Amino acid sequence: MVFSRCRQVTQRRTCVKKRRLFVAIDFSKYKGRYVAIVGRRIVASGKDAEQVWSQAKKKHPDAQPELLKVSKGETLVLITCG
Amino acid sequence: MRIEFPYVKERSSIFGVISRPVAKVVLEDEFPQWMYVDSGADITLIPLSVGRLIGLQRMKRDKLERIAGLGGSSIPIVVKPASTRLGSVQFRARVAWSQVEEVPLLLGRMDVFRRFDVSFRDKAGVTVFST
Repeated sequence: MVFSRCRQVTQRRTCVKKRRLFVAIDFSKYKGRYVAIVGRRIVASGKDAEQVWSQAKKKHPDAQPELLKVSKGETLVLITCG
Repeated sequence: MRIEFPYVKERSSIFGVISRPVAKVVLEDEFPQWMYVDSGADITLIPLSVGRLIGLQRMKRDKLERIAGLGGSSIPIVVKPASTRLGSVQFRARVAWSQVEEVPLLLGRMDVFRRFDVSFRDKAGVTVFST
């Protein structure tokens, strides 16, 4: 029970950190582009995920960049079906 | 397992700043991607260059399908299995690999939602995945 509570607290802290990450980064310059995030910084951006990943790995070979495709600012109603 | 992802604040042309549910999904054990969590999507969707990044290749035997969204416009896709990790849970999930670039990354229901209870907590601004 105590262990489970600790894990929840840890996960909550991680969540709060991530929230701060998104608040801290201004994505407005990157509409429609992929950005690679290492730590709290955007280290590469572009229109092709492979190229963005390569650029990020070149700059930070030991890090695992996170990729985000920034929306173009449209209002999204997302449904896919066959 | 329980993992929470905060909504991301983005700009909508109609509504100004808007919060959207996203989740970090690690594909092929190496490539962390932030995806919109879309309970209305039958299947996870990834753009062309993301598929290439994670090592997907289009084979002759792959059937080109089309999936449609609102308004009936459709995009060509190939359905492929991909190693997927969400938090500490690893599994194989079918993904729709778009053959065009101009699509968002969507975490859809197929092979994903049956493994988790997914809660969209708009008031708290988080999406919760629990097993």
